[in-house]
Formats: sequence, C-alpha cells, structure tokens
Amino acid sequence: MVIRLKKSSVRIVVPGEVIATGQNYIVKGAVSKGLDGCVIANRIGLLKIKGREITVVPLSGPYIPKRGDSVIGIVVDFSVVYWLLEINYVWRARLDASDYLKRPFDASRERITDHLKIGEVVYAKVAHIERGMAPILSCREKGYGKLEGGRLISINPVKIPRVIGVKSTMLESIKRITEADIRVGANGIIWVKAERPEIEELVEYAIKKIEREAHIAGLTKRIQKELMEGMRRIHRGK
Amino acid sequence: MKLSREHVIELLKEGKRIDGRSLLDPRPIQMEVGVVERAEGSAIVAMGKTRVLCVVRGPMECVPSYLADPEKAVLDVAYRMATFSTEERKSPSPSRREIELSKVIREALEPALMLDRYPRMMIRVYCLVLQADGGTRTASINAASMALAYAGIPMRDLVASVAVGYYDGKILVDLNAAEDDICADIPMAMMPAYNKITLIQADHIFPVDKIGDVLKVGVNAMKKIYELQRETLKKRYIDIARELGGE
Repeated sequence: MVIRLKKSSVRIVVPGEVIATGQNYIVKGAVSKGLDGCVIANRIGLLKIKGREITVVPLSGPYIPKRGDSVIGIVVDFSVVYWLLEINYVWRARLDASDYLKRPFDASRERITDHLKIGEVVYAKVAHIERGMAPILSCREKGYGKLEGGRLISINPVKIPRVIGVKSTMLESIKRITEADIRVGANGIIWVKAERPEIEELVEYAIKKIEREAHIAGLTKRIQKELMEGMRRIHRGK
Repeated sequence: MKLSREHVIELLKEGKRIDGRSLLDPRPIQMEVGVVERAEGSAIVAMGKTRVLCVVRGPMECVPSYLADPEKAVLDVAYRMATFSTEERKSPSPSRREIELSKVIREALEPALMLDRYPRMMIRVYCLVLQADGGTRTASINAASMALAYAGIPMRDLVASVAVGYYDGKILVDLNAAEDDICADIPMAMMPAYNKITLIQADHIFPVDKIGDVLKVGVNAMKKIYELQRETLKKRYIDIARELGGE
C-alpha cells in the first residue's frame, strides 16, 4: 500500500477537502472517509501530517463533554440533593452534593444552599456522560472545588488545547510570568485570579490573543514577549 | 430603466443577457464568513444583486422538545425575506413560499451534515434575504453551508448551489429575476467532493432530453462556486496570519 499525500506541511483545510488518497495511514481529529476510501476533512481545521499520521485540528466548533474533562461551571439551579451547572453545553450538568462535599449528604439535616449558591463558580471533572443527555460532574478528586474571586474568560472551546500548549508550556509560562492563579476548563471557560485586577486584564488579553491566533506558528514566544512587556508596564505604574 | 419582458427575450434569442454576461457565466459573487459576532457561524453571500445573510446557532437544546431525535440532531432552517428585499414591500409574516423554501434548503443541506454527532440537539439556520433578484434559494444554500462550516459543525462536504435556466434551446446559468420570469428555472445544489446532487427542482416546461445538458452546465458552475466557498473560508484564517506578517 502506498500513501500519497497531497502536501506535507501544516495548512488549513475545509470540509470536503481531500487530504490523502490510498490506504495505510492513521487518522485523527476531524477526518472522515470520502469517495473511493480517500481521507477528507469534515471541519475547518489545521492539517498536520507526520509520517503516516494525519491529524486535522478543528479551528471552530461546539463543546462536547468527554469523561475526564476538567470544566468550569456556574451554578444556575439546585434541587434538594444536587446543583445544576452551566458548562457551555446544550444541557446543564448535574453535580451531586455528596460528590461536591466528598462525604455523604443528608438532606434532612442540612441545606444544599449552605454550600453553593446560584452564581457561584465550580471547577469540576466530568464523571459520567451519556450520549444526548445531561453530564454528571464530580469534585471528588484533588484540586477541584469552588473558585472564589477572580474573573472568568470565555473562549471558543476548540482553542483550549492551544491555551494549555504542548506539554502545557503556554499555560505554565503565563502562570510564571504573571504569577496568577489560573484554571482552564475544557469547556472554553478560564478562571483567573491575580493580585491586582490589571494583571487579570493582562491575562485576559493574552488568552483572547491566543484564541484569535491559535492557528499561527510561534504563538508561545509572541505571548511571552507581550506578557513580559505588560508586567513591566504594570510594575512601573505601581 | 425597467427592462421589458420582450427586450429580455430578444436578447436571449441572440444569445445575450441583459447584464452583458455570457450564457454560461454566473453573476459576480461576493462571499464573507464570520459577519455576525454573537452567532457560532454566519456568512453573507451576494450573487449579483441578490444578497443573503445566513446565521447558524447551535447545537442547542431542541425546541419544541417533542421534535428531539435520540439518534441525531434536528436541523431547523428558516428562510425569510426582509420586508425591504423586494420591489413591493413584502409582508413580514412567513408566506407559503418561505415555508416551502425553508424545507427545500434544509433538504439540500441535510445530506452534507453529520447530524448523528449531536443526538437530541437542534441546529438552527436562519437565512435572511436582504435583497432579492432571483436565485435567493441558491444563494441561501451557498451561504448556509459556509456558515455551518464556519460554526464547526462536522460536514461531509460544502454544498454549492446555482440555478440553471432553459429558454428556446438556450441554457443559461445563474438567472436573475428578469430571466427567471421567462425561462424554465432549474435550481440545483450538490456536494462536489462526492459528486452528488442534493437538490434539483424545475419550475417550468422544458424538453426532457435536455436535462443532461442542463445538469452538466449546472455542475460546472457549482464547482466554480464551490472553489470560491473554500477560498472564502480559508481566507478568514489566512487574513489573521497576514496581519502578523506571517505566511
């Protein structure tokens, strides 16, 4: 079997675009089979070819939760034993009180609103997902729970991997330069808390820039440079 | 100056058209995506004087909920003409024609969409005709498929569409309103990567043995439009790269 690739570099592809003909390759991301078994893109994305591996990284699209995703949700409703969280998905996600408190919850002895109120922000993990139904969240693992203070930044969820970066280089450098506390939700919501609001604004600016320029090489360096300049400006104004 | 019906017929008999283009040329086409910031996907398409804005929302909760399909998403298309889009004011209430065209556009798009990825959900497509000069359904399909792609909805292919006319032995591409009144109007849509037609209609009488020629002419025109759709979608991202002085 021979692999014939149309071009071997990073480029933008659109739905219906033939990426490769022939067989014997590994496909990942937004790709499907076309006429005569050829590989076609099914979303606008960045095409990456590495040997026999073809990947299309989508440039836009809705958030579809997966088991194990870390998400940031806003409490929008509650019942006696669970809260409903808005997580940028079609349905509100359910967070059981016992999964949030990490202990059995007795509704006859305590009130659910004593722990979380409407409008509060929670960092949680997607514990269970059923096709076409509301997901179930959990805070049982370490590091998850209520987020207090700070600000929320909303971006397109497909750009989240870029905010984190390869081996989380991007996120680590933002944290290092700004010394801000950042939680990234796979659902496109990012929580930032810093010493001063100016720093939070700077992080917001940087993340919006990452969202816009996600498909262009050399992004980490550009962001680092801008952040360092921004921090210098903030310290000078002190 | 208003061109009389006779004048259009006279020109057509000579193989000419009122706007000076040749029989097989589509009108000048302008396209842009991402024109509405709040929507997941949007596109504006101008084919000659016809101008259509298309906005895509979703996937969202299916409303009304009894329409929800546990196997796939529901595609809801609303084709509307703005009150100012026609020569005489169009009543804003949805007409029989608008409801029918909504269905026609939905059926032309559905084969291209991977709706099974979004069970129980709904994807809404709004097509608003801003200016009507013939071929509003084809412009709507062109705009809708680009807006859907821009929204990141998985698609097998983009859908390109054009109307082909037949008059007295002559086949002409991309009719405007004046030609639409006298020719047999055959709007069609296709998925060029699969070589599949997703829509074909005919609103007049024309010889049945000409259908092959009509299709051939239409397919050629649709492939041109398809290339333009692809370029427009890519351009959106390449423009951002250019701003930074990159490739």
